[in-house]
This record gives sequence, C-alpha cells and structure tokens, in this order.
Amino acid sequence: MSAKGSLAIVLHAHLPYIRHMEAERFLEEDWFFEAVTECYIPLIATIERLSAEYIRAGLTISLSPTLCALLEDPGMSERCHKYIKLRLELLQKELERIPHDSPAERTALMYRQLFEQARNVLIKFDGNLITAFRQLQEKGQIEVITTTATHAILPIMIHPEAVRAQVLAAVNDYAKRFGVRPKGLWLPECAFTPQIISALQLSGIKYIFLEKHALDLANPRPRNGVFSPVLMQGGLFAYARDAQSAREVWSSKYGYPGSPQYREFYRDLGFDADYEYIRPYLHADGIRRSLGIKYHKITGNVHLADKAPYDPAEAAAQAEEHAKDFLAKRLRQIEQINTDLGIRPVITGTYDAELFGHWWLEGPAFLENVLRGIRKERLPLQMITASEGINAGHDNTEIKPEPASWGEGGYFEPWINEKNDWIYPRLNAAAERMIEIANRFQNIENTPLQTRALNQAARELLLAQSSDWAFLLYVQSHAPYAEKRVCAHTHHVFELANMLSENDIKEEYVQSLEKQNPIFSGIDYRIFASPSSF
Amino acid sequence: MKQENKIPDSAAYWRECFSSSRDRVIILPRSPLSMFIYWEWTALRTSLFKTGKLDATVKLKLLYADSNTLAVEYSKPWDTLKMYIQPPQAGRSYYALLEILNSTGAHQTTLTSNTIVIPSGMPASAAEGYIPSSGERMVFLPSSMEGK
Repeated sequence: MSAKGSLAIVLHAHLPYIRHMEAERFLEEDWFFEAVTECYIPLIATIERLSAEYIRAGLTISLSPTLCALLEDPGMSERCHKYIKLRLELLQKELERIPHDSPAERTALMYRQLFEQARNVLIKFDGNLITAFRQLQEKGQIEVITTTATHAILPIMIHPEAVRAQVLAAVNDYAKRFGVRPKGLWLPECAFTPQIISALQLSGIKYIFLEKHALDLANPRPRNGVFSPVLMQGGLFAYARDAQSAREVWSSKYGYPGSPQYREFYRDLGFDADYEYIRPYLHADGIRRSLGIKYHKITGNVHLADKAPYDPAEAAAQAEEHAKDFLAKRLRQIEQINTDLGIRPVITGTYDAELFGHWWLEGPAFLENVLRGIRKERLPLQMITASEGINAGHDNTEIKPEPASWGEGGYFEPWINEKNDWIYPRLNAAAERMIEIANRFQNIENTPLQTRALNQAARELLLAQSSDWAFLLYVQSHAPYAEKRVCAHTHHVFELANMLSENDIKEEYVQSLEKQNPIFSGIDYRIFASPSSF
Repeated sequence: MKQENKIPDSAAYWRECFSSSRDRVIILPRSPLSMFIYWEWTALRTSLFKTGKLDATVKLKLLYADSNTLAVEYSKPWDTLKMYIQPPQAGRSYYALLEILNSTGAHQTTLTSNTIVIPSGMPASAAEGYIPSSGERMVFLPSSMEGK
C-alpha cells in the first residue's frame, strides 16, 4: 500500500560533559552510565534487531558533541563497564535474596538482561558507541545529526561570534567523527530567533527543528502548518513538532509513560533496601540514592509506599497496546490532513532520547513496536529521516518563524531567571575576552604553546556555555555542581587570556586543563574571531 | 611566575559587576512579556558613583530598534545592576541606552546595548500547542534526584 503520509521521529540525545577522571568515582558521571545502559544501548539494540529483520528504523538521531565525546572516551567506557559489573553483582545478590517465581524475581531478571545487553554491546563496539551510531548511519538505518557544541541556547547569546563558534565547533566535530558533514542541527530546546539563521547557513546546515508556535506565528503562516518542512531565509529548512504526538509520548501526566502498568521511576532499591546491604553500591558519601533497580509500577495516584509490584510482562503488553494506539491515531491524523490540506503530511515527532528507557523504561519497547507495527500491518505510513522528508517535498513559500522554544513557557525563561541570571555577566564577559584574544592572535605566528592556550580557552568557554548549568540551577538539582562548572570554566578562560596577554603562559596550567577537558580535539580558536578581522 | 587566581563562586559575580573591564549594558529576551537587563561598571566608574562625582541615578531607555524611537524609560539607582521588565510591545526588536549624568545632572555618557527580538506570541499556557511544565516534561535528570 502506498504511504498516505510519513512519520519523522527525531530523538535528541544529550548529556553535558560530565567527565571527571580526577576522582575515582564522581556522582554526576552516573548520569552517563544510566543513559548508556538504559537509553542508548537499548536504542542501538532495537535498531540492530529491526535491521536484522529487514525493518529499517528510519529514525533521525541528534547526538550532542558533548555526549559524543563521552561515548568515545576510553576512561568513561572503562567506568561504564565497572558500573555495569557492580549492578550485575547487586542483581545476583538480589536474585538470591528475593522469593523464587515472584514478580520481583521477574523484574530482577529483566534488569539482569538489560545490564548484560549493555555489557555485550559495549564489548561488541570496543567501548565506543559512536562506532555503533556511525555504522547504523552508513547502513542507512538512521540519520545522525548534531546540535550546538555544548548545547548552548543560541537566542540568548549576544555575540554573533559566539553563536557561530557554537555551531561551527559542532559541525567540525561531527565531520571529524562521522566522516561527512551534518545536514541537520538540533537547536537546543528548539530555541530559535531569526538572528541565528546566518550562523547556521554559514556552517552548511540544511535544516533545523522548531517548536510548533514558531511556525503558528510565522510570517506568512505556512500553508501546511507543521505538516511539511518549510523554507526559510537563505534556503534553510525547518520542521516543527506535532503537538498531538508529542503529548501522547512525552507527558508523564497525559501520555503513555504515566500508565499504571509501567515501571515507577521514583521507587528504587537504593531507598528501599537495608542500608548495610546496599552500602557497597553507593558513592563514598554513603548517601542513599537511586541505583536504577526498581521493583514497583506506577500503579496510580498513590503514595510511593503503596505502589504495587511491577510485572514486566504486563508492562510489555501495555507498550504493545500503546504502540498500536499511537499508530492508529497517526493514521487518523494523516487521513484528516489528507482531507483538510490535500497533502501527504510529514508528522514530526521530536523527543528527548533519554525519555526512552530512563524515565520511561518501556519506551524502547514502545518504539520497537511502533516501527515493527508499520511493517507488520502494512500501514500506509512511512518512516523517514529528516533529510528524506526535505527531499520528498516541502512548502516553497519562504517564511519567517517567530522566536520560540519548547522549554517551559515556550520561550527562554527557564534559562534566564532569578535562580541563574548571575551567570550571564560572567559568560558574556568571558565570550568578549575570547573574541578579543582570537582576533588578536589569529593573524600572527603563534608558538605551539600559545596555540594550545588559545584552543583550550575556546574549549573552556564552550563548556561554560552549556545550557545544562542554567537549567540545573533553575530546577535546583545539582545546583552547586552547575555553579562550580560555570565558575571554573569562565575562570579558566580569563586565566588563559591573561597569560596570553602578558606573554606568560604556564604550560603546566594549560596541560592540566587539556587533561581535564579533552573535548573538541580538533578545535581551532579562530572560530571565535570576528568576521571583519578575517 | 604569575599565580593563578582562586575560582570565585556565584556570590562574587554581581560584585564583579562593579569592577568590570568596561562599562556595558546588556539585554536578553525571555518571553513576549519579559526581558532581562543588566549592566556593569568599571572600578573607576564605580568609584565616581560612590564619591558623588556622578549622579546616583541612571536613566535606562528602551528603544524600538526598527525606528530608534523611545519605548519606555526608567530612572534607577546606579547600583541596581539588573532588572526584569515587560516590553511595551511583543514582536518588536529593542535595544537599550543607559545614560549617566554627572553630579550637576548634565549628560555625561551613554552606553548602548545589543539588539534583541522579543517574540510576538503569547506565553505557552495561552498557546494552542503543547508545552509541558518542567515537572510534567520528563527532561533527563539523574535518578539521584530525589522525589518528584
């Protein structure tokens, strides 16, 4: 049956650069281990499994440069293996402790399978999951795109040089890693303002993703709404998120992930178990924290203590039902658009990749059921990557989208508010200093040490600009850590700039920062130079 | 050899705005209904304010960038440093001027900010689309975050 419409599912995968080799174990590194074992590896395994059955996933996956740097870091890979080993050890103890043939045993076995899969996939790709994503892209199973270098929110950056550097560093990093230039760029938090278009064009980006109201309020309003890619100034294309499919999948209140049968995220063995029993699996501070092993289901609107036991089979059946429901709704939606607009629409479903598996344990199974269901039921619905969507057709009317984001409130308030506004004088002053030294040193013959200091200053500034720090300060989660990161990276920029200005560069200082933050290995500080000074 | 300076914490940052490398005023867009403005002074300028050689009140003027016409004006103590203000009109471009007067009230100098675009829409609660709250949307946070 020929397709009546297409589904472009875009998964945005990102973690800030949380590599801390200076410590034996570091709390924030757990974010990475959790995301690898719960999200990225299940996603890779799902796509590979489908591929083996000649079912092409056709997903678009955005991998942030900071996440890529973590995924290919041998030190992080080694630590991830240790994390998995510890979890498997704990699960073995659990299987000896809990009653045989109980719901808890079935759940523990499910977790054991999850961690064994993670271990096997890591071994298969020699600890480097970038290899997996690159191979899947080369086989045409997925399209990998990039985002800004450190997930900076571009519309709130005041220096055009800094905006361009965030985009260029990401594009260059991608090209080095994947052997081709990225066609698409995920705007962090879908945060857009027309002022960033030129930086995207100059970097060779072909398309971006916007929040729905950026197009709803565009001038002129696109004929097909959000249901086909739109043309913007200078030949750049934009997709916008379909609100209906977003709500079904994304919302913990109204969407599938909040169903009573699914795994409860907040009830965890780390809080339930006897303290001495779990002590070896906690961090050095001995504070009880989640261990990622959770035996209860959401159940309903009841207190955590009253949650019912989780049943993996019941949850798996629910994920299958939800996938069927999702596909049925997309087909009805497409038929309605066929009738109303007379087009074959592209339904753009954009999600954080970490929703699938981390918050919503059954998310990867849901996704697999969706992709399998299209083939199995021979549905008139086609999975396409974002590049394929543009090649298939688009609205040729040039439109001017409005500033918007998909963050709370729809604009930029989560990243600028009373809890985090102190970072902006510092960030902007550091950017100004970086631009100043880039302009000053770009046309003279630098010593190797000067070049290293300049490049490290560029890295430090990019790292300071991560939107994650402002967000963590806003939600007051790991706020002291976020504060330290902004303070340290900007401080390093000023220190390095001062050393360069005074021609008194301390090699050991540069070296220690290079060792601490070995990201963007091919960076050229000139990406921060002003265009007029080229 | 030059000694490395200690890394400051966040508490020091607004204090640093009294000893900046240059005087500046910056504006940032937040929503159709809000923008953030901050300014910084050099140590010299700070001392001139503190010793009364400059008027303790500065004038902040917000201008429409497309017409260079005044949108709104505020008089504020020089050490206010930051403000959240509602732009008079959504969907316009703005920049700010910060006017400094000397002790006799005569114009001394004017700082000019960057230009920003304020969105024309409504906050998402009033929009047709689906924008979940931070609590509803399951943004990746580590599982070590305790409770909802």
